[in-house]
Amino acid sequence: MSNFQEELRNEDGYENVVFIAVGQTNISSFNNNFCANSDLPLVMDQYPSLPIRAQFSPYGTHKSIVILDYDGSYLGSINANSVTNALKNYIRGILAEHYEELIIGDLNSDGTVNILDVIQLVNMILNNQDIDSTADLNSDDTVNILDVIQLVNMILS
Amino acid sequence: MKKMLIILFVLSIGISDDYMYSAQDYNATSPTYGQDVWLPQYSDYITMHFFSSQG
Repeated sequence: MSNFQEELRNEDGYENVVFIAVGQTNISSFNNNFCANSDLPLVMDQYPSLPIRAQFSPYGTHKSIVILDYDGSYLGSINANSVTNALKNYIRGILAEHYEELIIGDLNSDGTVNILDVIQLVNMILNNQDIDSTADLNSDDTVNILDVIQLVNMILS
Repeated sequence: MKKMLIILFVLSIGISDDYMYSAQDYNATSPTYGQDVWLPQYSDYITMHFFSSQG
């Protein structure tokens, strides 16, 4: 799965896709088998209530992949006993339809960068709202007045 | 008309299928190890959630 994620990101250009493994145990019985040679994030669905599976029902069955859009809406699901070409094609088909290139500075996702994005960025900073990567214009892992300045310069130039 | 709008609103809530969770990443070899995923990390990603019974 990890290799397929690298294919999607590096060969297909889908940089903003991620596989997240959802285990089914508590941390006391954690073992590393699932993560061996993998850089995929792994979360634990807490046994016995399994709240993540409960939320994903009926899709979150054993060895299935559930694909969600940026806003958490359902895009599709598929059995994943192994990474077959059919599985890859299914996922690529969904990404081809739904993947959107992120435009740096386009905070309101309207496809352009303008004064509305500046207003939104200022509001995000003042109100301590959740910050996404499109707002970190200078890629210093923080969003502050320097990003506002850079965004204004982008628009003016 | 007002009644119809209320019915449509209730229906739109009922058929909403948005998912959301935030849980710690336990994979020590993951770039987001120790951080909460899928939110806030990967909030602007298309996410693929692979379910397994293993830890």
